[in-house]
Amino acid sequence: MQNILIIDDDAGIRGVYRNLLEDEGYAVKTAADANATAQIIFTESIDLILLDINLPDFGGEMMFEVIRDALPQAKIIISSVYPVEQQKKWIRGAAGYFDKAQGPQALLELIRNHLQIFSPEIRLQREPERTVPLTHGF
Amino acid sequence: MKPFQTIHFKIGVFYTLILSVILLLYSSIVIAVSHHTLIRDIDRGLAVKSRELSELVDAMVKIQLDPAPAYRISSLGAASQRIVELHRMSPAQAATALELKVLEIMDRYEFHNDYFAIMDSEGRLVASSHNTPPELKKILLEKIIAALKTAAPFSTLRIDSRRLRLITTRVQPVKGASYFIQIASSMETVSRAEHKLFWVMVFILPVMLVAAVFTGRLFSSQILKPIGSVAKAAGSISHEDLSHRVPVTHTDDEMQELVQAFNEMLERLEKSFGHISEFSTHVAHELKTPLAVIRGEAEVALRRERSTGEYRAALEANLRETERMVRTIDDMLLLARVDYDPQSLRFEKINFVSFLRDILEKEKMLAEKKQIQITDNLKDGAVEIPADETHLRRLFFNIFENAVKFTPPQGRIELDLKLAEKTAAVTIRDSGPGIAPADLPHIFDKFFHKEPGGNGLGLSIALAIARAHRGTLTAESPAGNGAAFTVTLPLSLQP
Repeated sequence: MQNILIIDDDAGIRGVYRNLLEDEGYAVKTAADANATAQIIFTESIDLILLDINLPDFGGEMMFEVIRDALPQAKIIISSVYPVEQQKKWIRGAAGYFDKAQGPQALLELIRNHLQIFSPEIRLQREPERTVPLTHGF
Repeated sequence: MKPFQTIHFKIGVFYTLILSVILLLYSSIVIAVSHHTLIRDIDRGLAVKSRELSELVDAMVKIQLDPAPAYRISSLGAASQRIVELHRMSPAQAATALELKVLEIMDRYEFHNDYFAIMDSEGRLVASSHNTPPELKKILLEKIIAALKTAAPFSTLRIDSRRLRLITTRVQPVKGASYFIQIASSMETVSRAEHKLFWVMVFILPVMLVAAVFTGRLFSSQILKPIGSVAKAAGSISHEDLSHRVPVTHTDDEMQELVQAFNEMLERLEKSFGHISEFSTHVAHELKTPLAVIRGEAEVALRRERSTGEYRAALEANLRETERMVRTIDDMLLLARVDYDPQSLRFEKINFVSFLRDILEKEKMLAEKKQIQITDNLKDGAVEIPADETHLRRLFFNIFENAVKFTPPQGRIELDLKLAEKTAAVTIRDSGPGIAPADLPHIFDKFFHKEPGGNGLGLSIALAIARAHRGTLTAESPAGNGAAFTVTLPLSLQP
């Protein structure tokens, strides 16, 4: 089970991405600000973090550093409404960059690239019932 | 611009015309004055000669009138005879003596080139200069008669192409005997001098004119150059590149003033455009987040079959975000109107105290949920201020919304009204955590978020409304001890 942490001040964003990722089989935690983030990153194991750098306290850069120190193995993906080029200028060295306007599909692909695909056990659970095709010549 | 419409050309034409007129006037004056002076010189000479001759005649005649009345003299020839008798000279000697005298006088006063005629009261020519041509003699006699009538001693006579200046004087040595002396002097020197002067003027004037106009145009070119630069710079300015400036002329004159004012205007425009562009960027991003959510919810919901509840949840989320965007857009339009369209506010006199009481009532209801206490210091009284009630209501609503949001449950909000001679100040103080000193200068900035779910425009709108009412809005946060917002409004819109 892959743990993903979504850090974003917008409740709507947290909601829709949580839905999306839980749907895909990831375990999702969310945090709305620095405090909530701190409570999670120092106590839990997270595999991937989606970090909104336009948090009200504008601590995007500092948050990035702190998270990197706290969870060195985790992949951090920067997210924002600003274009990717702009994000790259602000924060260097992140595992990936996501422009929210690109949509959920793009986010999924980005995450899949950085994490292993979910374990077979879950896949079995999620695939719908298949009808076994009849062979010819029956 | 056609070449004939330029200021340069107009200045040139104007300058040339004025200069021509001045130069013509000047040369006319010079010529007139010199003419007058030259004539006066001749006249003075003539006057002296005339006096000498008059004295001579006078003496001659008096000599004649000697106790022996038998002699009647009518000519200088006879006079000489008399002198002979009187002075016991021989006739030849007397004639010579007289002639010598006359010659001496002529010499002394340069009579050589002059003509003279002496006439007695009966119109008979008594004597005349030897060199007088007969026709001239006749004219001179006529002139004498004419001069008698007009009593003007000096006159000018034109014969053929020559000019003569005449002086006519009357001598009355004894009662009953008058003689008229006329001397004519050639005006050739005057004519020559005037001629010379005239031609000098005719040639020099155009040359001077051309030189002056040329240097004048050079000068005006130089002065008008900055105008050209300003025009060129203005032409190169566009919203894409407001960084151009016109080079300053360092001449400390009106041109430098113009150039500096122009550059300062560009500076302000650049800043304004910067602000607008910043604002647009903010707006775009402010709206992108709700759109990202809407898109996300829709895509996620459509990925597979969902339950009715899940669909409903997605649609409700999208509706919330849509409402949020509409609110943001409405707020921005309000901000634009209040800031830039003064007509959008309708002012009337409102009773401030009852207005505030009304707001407090509504706020108390909203604050009930968090059990926040709201107190005030309002006393009964008629305080009238000019205001647009709807917008003013919005101002106070926004401030209270802020206060309520940041005041912890069971906290306190105070409203304090202070009246001064020309203003009314309302302070709304809350017991929340206050505003960090680093944030204080920015809280009225557009899209400055401090709380999730808002759009960061509340206080910007409040400030814009306060300004539109010719008032001010300030915030203080004494050492983390809550925040205090003070709205100051004028009691009258007349200064």
